[in-house]
Amino acid sequence: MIDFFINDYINHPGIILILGGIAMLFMSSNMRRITTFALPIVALLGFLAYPDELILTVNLFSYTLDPIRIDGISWIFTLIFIIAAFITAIYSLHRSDKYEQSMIAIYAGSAIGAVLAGDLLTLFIFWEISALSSAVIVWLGNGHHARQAGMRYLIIHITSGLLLMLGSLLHYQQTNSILFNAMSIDTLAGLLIFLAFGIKCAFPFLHNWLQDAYPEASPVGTVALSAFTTKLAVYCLARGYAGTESLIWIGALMTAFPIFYAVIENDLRKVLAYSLNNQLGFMVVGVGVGTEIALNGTAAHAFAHILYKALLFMSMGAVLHRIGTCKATELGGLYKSMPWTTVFCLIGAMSISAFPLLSGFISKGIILYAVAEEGHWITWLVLLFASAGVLHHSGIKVPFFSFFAHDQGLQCKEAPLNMLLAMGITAAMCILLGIFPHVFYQWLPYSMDFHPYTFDHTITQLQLIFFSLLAFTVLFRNGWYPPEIRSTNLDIDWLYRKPLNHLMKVFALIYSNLLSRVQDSKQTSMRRITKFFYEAHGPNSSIARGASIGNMVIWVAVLLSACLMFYYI
Amino acid sequence: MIYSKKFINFVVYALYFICAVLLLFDVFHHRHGHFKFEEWFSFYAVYGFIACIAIVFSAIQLRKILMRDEDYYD
Repeated sequence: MIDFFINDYINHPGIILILGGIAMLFMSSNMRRITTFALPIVALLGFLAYPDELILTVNLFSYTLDPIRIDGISWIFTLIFIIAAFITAIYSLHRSDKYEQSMIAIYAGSAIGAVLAGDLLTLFIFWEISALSSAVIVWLGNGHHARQAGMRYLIIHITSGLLLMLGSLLHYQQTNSILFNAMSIDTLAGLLIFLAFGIKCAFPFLHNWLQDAYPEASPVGTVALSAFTTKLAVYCLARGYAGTESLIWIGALMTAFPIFYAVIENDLRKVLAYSLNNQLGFMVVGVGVGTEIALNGTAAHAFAHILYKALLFMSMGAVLHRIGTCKATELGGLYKSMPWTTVFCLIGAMSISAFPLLSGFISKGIILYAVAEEGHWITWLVLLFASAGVLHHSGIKVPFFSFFAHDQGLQCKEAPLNMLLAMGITAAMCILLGIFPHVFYQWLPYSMDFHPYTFDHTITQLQLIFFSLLAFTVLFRNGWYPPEIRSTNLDIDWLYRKPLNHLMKVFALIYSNLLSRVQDSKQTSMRRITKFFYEAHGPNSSIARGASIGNMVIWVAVLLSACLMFYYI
Repeated sequence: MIYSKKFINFVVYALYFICAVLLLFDVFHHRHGHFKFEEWFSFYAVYGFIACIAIVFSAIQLRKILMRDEDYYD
């Protein structure tokens, strides 16, 4: 067994997951269940067999590639991706969907491969595999909406891949190296790659693929989607653009604007998608600040966030699985039928709200501390505002409207056992990370001296949380809280789904009109040309006129006799 | 059970009580923060409260501009 893992590539966790995912397509249902469960464990064993620091260099033609690079920052992202793959695998065991389980394994594997990639070419290959496999996961979400959203998702992610490729080629041309190290947005190559990461990271105005596609996937699909793509982008930003000041502003904007949408959104999985966007903002700010403690904060927040966001998506997925909808207008009072799901959802909600003793309290605390240390007071205030907002929509709105609020008289069974198990494991991790932050610190890329449980930090956070709760209570009891309404809220996707779509239709009309005209005129001139050749070379033309063998023999005889005559003369 | 008026009132009064206790800490304990405004009395409490009220009221206004029918894109 040890020998099996010694080879450098065989224990690559990403490749294990991708190959396993492909193999799953050809397995029987039970075998696939076992593989789904076992793959992340094998991947973890493979990964842990690697040393903590490793760079594997390969020369391919004139390129020097690092297909595997393990250091502090890629180590923690790989670890959390494997954990996320494991949780999703357990969550998916209640049904046997060949394509979904296989695609999720491939998707997780490609995200891990991208994190471990030390050069832009390897990164690009895994980047594209992750785009394709995740688009299939969206498509498998059933229905017309999922297919359309999946197509929009794919177009946007392929665009991101193209930008990455273009940027990488330019980068190679300029620096003669394709290794993925720190870059600058001052060069065109750096800017293109930055944009490619920005699309995947759901930067403001590039964000809407997230809220569009994630809620359309199946309950299992959304849990998988929530973990990998965006955090891969955060990792890439941390690797390539740490300390880029514009990221501070971009991140701050990202934390703030999705909150307003989350408050008025009716689909609770979409609320969570907006809140995911907002949480990414915290990580992006951490990358922008770029100090060791800030990057620790980003890594810690990505780790904690993947867990509590997956937990929240899992609880809403369980509701969707049992009730068939996740719309706040249709839900309420489910705590009676689904008590365990309610408890797990509340743990996720408290974690994302950065409640003391839970994971978010630690990770968000590090980022806010790092921002304050550098004296960015406006950003700090925006992040604090966003923290209150997160509590409001993810902490209160999601559990409140689904499990409590108005009793709709809904009756259903508790979530399937495997779902409860997946939620239970994740909830336990959220609590353990919150209670034992020092164990958590050992996994972070840099050593640091940060004490989350100081009197001031704990009390101020509790004040922020409880007074936000108070605001919600006052608003709700006085009837000022906006009622849930079945609706669509316009976001940036409106631009390409309405005006751009109409514009494309107009262009298509003009083009098809022009085309038919050109074809008409082409046909007349073509007809003329054909007619000419037909007359000259057609079956009745002078050239093609058939001559009998007799004629030929006569002419040969004439020519020969003429020759004979000339010879004698 | 949780929908009874008695229980709801209990939860709400418990919340008021916790908020009051948390404010009391600010009376007796002087905070040292990175920024001067962090040290103001009840800064975090007031900021959280106002932020949430502001978010909800601006979201209501936002709805007037952004809200469409559920099948708007169909």
